[in-house]
Amino acid sequence: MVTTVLKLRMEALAQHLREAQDPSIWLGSLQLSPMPDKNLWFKAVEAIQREADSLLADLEADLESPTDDAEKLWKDYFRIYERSHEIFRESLELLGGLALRDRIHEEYACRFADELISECAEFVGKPTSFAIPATEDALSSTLRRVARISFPDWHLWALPLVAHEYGQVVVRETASFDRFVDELASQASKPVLDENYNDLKSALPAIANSGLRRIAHDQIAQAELEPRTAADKMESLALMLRADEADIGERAQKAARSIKASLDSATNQARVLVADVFATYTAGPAYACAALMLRLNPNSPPVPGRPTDEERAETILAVLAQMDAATPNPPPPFAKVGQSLQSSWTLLLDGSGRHDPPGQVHLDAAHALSMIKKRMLRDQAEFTKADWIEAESLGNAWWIKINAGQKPDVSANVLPNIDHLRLRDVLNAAWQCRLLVIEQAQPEDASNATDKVTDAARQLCDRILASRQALLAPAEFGGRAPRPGEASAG
Amino acid sequence: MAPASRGFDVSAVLDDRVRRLQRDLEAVGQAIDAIPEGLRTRLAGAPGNEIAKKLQAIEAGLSVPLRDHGIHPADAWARAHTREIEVSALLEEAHALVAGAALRTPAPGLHPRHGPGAGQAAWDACGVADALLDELASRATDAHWPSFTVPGVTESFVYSSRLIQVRFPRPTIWDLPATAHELGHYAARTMSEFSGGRIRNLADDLHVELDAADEASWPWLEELFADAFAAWVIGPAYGLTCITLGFDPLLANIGTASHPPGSARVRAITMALDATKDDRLRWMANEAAKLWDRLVEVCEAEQEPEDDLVVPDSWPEKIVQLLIDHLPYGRYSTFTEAERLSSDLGAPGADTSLADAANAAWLARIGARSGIGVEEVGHLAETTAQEIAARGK
Repeated sequence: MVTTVLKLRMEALAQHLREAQDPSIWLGSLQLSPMPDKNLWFKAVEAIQREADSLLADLEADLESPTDDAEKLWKDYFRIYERSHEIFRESLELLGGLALRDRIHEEYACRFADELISECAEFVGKPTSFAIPATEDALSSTLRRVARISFPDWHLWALPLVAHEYGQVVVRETASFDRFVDELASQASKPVLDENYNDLKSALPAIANSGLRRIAHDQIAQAELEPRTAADKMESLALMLRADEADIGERAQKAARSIKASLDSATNQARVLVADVFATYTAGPAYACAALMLRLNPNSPPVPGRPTDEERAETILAVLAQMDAATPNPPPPFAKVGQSLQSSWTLLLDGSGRHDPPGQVHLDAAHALSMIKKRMLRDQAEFTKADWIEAESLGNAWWIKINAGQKPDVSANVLPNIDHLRLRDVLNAAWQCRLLVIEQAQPEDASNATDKVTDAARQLCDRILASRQALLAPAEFGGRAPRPGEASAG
Repeated sequence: MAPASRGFDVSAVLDDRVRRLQRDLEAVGQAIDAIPEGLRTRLAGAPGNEIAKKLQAIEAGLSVPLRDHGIHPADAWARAHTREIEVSALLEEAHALVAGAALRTPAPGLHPRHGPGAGQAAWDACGVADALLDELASRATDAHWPSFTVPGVTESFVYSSRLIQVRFPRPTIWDLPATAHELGHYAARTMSEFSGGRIRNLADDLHVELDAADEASWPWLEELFADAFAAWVIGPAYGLTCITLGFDPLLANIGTASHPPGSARVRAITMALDATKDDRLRWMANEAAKLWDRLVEVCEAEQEPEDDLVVPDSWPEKIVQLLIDHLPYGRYSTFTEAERLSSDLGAPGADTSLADAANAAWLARIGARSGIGVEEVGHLAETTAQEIAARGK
């Protein structure tokens, strides 16, 4: 019966994996209207399917295994069980998000987010993706290739944050960036790694067998040179020492766990920061405003695998300053908005009490930006001085209207030609206007004024989308619409 | 002429953040309105009240003091931060509710059947789970369960919306008894008694009596209560689900921050079954305990760490006594019907309950009818459960 229980559990898990293996079956039954673009959908769930296939193969191998080692089989089962949960979580978030997106009346934020992602995808020459609503604190996705838009504030103001979400996808999918992230993670984890190596080195003289001692020494030296494989090296060292040098083997095992945890955490932190660089560079001040004004919290409790919000704010502001520095002719375009954001952030920091937890990844924004420009981005990716001047001027014009008690007019009468506009331009104009509202409107008028900006920006985004999506298959979302300069509206 | 700039001060930024919190809460209300009516009516006023309470707290604690300049910016920021954490927990629940409702809304073939059940009506696991929980709640809780089930990564209970999640991607008849444990969390928070001129929560009293009100022991006692409750109201099916499919025997002696060690949980389950005073349930309890012990033995489970919290014997004893004293009507008492049904899973009687169907499925599975495959037993039991659930609609 004991063996039967394990077998039953494995069979049940295998059945669940088979059910989750093809999320397309579920997608079909959700009866969405419109459906996601087929190619994008397959791309989105490709990694989920691959992971499910691999776990299923492991499980089937265990089911057919002749071994009597119950402890090993149970451990294997729980390893696969935990990884399966990741698949189930990701599938559930994806399907639930799609269902939610479909059922909300007059949903617009995800449609706009799709277009923003499509713009970003063009900058990096990678396939586009689509957005689903998810909770702000949901764990990052490592399997599905879909951006999340925070539930329920899927309003216009949070939209620039989608550039960060897509940035994370891009960082994972670009080999040179993955290496860059590894370098950053290794630097941040160095104290932890060194402590573990030193601990093990101090134990080596106690190994009786000189051959074994030499191999152990070499393993540690190799791990020091190649942090990416350090945890595996320590793991195999632990296995090698387990029979003859149990105590040191145990220390190597502990070192493997500690190194892996430290590197995993630092890698995730670095990915977030690099995605911040990507988002600021491509979405401009709108991203900086959305992040610093809406999302980041000074003195928020540290979360494992996430950089502190202070670190993220510092990175975003540093990228804006770098973009200024790279502009050939004065005045620096982003200096004013950068200073406004910096001063508001400093005020919030001072008001909340600072903290600076140890072991954080620190990103050299200038270096990261030059890496991104050199290896990943195409022309038109940068949100330029000219882009900002136009957005600023549009935002200022809206504020003048609002301040005079009127609504900004974005109809074809006032703005007849919108072919050259992208969604990121509109979001930057909107944020420029909102900053003016925060700075200059009387508190009792601020809410009403913000609503007017929202309406104007939303109408303009709708116009842009309508002109582009006229050429897309109407029954699908997430497809590639023509960009400015490629085709005229309609 | 442009008004004089107020400058970019902290109160303007805080104003903006406070408005965002208010907008978020209003948006949650709108999102909940998008839940299909049949499910939304089950929720009663719980989410609406939560949203209204949070909005009032934000207005009184932040908006008004900020407007009147009656609060130091540092204090305002601290309050805003606290509210953001609360609101974000509420958003997470609302997301689970709304996305879950959208995902579970029956559509043809939503849960396609494979194997022996192929071609039969789609298995509406969430619908059957709702019916099972309604049935158990009607016997064993002081208040009607005002929520519904949605697919989740694992079974769980959400306190403020009373939402219960069932296992994704396809909860089977074998998984359903685990929802009784989640209902136990709801029961613990609603089990009350009027005495001494006031209404007392009996689970809270138990925490105090057993000195288990601190951060470490509170969740453990609550979990053990939910385990004993589940065994008490649904019978051996719950223990068999946990031991056969759920608990990790490798960690039999090791608890986590939220859950006590598996062996302590098995003890709570078997003690509750023993307390039913039904010899057949006692026999099942004994068999389940022996099976667990053998699993732990062959896995060479790790020993309990020395500095870990240990579950005193008095905890399960007191929990079970609480069930005997306060939920006598909730006890599972129709095992005879489960035995009868186990010999012909496709023939439920007029009074067969979903708890009977779950127990009958387990009885059939562990050998009452040898020669029939687990998958086939499962499909037969699911069809019967669906039929019973449909009677209540």
